[in-house]
Amino acid sequence: MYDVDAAPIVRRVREASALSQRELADRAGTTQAVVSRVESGVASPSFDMVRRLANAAGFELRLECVPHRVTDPVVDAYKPGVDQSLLIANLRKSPRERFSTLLSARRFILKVRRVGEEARNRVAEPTAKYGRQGDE
Amino acid sequence: MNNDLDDILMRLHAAGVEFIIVGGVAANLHGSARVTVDLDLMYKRGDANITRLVGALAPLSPYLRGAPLGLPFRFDHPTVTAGLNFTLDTSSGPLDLLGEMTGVGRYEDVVLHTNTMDIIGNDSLVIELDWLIRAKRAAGRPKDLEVLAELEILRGLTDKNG
Repeated sequence: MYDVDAAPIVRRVREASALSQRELADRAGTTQAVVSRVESGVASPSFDMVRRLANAAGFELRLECVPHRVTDPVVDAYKPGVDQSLLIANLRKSPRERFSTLLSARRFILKVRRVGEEARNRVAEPTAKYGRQGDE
Repeated sequence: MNNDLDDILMRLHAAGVEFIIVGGVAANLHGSARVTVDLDLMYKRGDANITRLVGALAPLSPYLRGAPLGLPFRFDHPTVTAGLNFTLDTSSGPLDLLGEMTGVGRYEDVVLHTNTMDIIGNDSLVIELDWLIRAKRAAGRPKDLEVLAELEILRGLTDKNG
């Protein structure tokens, strides 16, 4: 058993192939009335029938398991703070361009960190060498 | 080769290592605006792949990140075989090697849910956005909440744009 609305699937593949219901039915070895009932949602076709209709329209029917999309109110609370313009701009780039941008930003961050460490070390050195003020 | 993330990836590709880009870099490749310093990779367990992995990365002198210097740590085949997940510093930057990730499993589980992306002239496997979200959610770290919000928005934008 499966619980999938076959109507839009069959209608979409038939229209994409520019076939009439009768043409699709002929190709799939069934009748126009069956295709009509499937597309109108009146009939609940078997998985095999949906596959036959999809194949007849020149498509493969694939089943795919995807994780449940759960919503988390805590995560949702963070969403208004996300700058979507940055994301939209990123989506216009290719993955290679995104990676290149990441590398540049990453190099800058690592450089800032290194400069910070060097500065901390310079401040710490005299303390280590001579002790803190007031130490005997 | 330079001393950067692309250096690590190029070495792994050249050695024929089977790996998947996960974590922050994967998020970035899916469009995240966050900059990450670490490279998180899921690698396939198994003798042959571990041999290739060690051969590719040993020249980068991997060492346990945050551990005191001088520990008897060797990045070699027995060490990787005996362990699973490694948090490393390398001469090309921080690298997390993951044999398994909470919520998504091992390489064989995740490889079915990857996108192929050309980012350095080679086709790299990148964990799908849905599965990245799943992994972040399963990790349950407070620092990931903002990341999750961004990833979910990205998913919505991607769905909308097909």
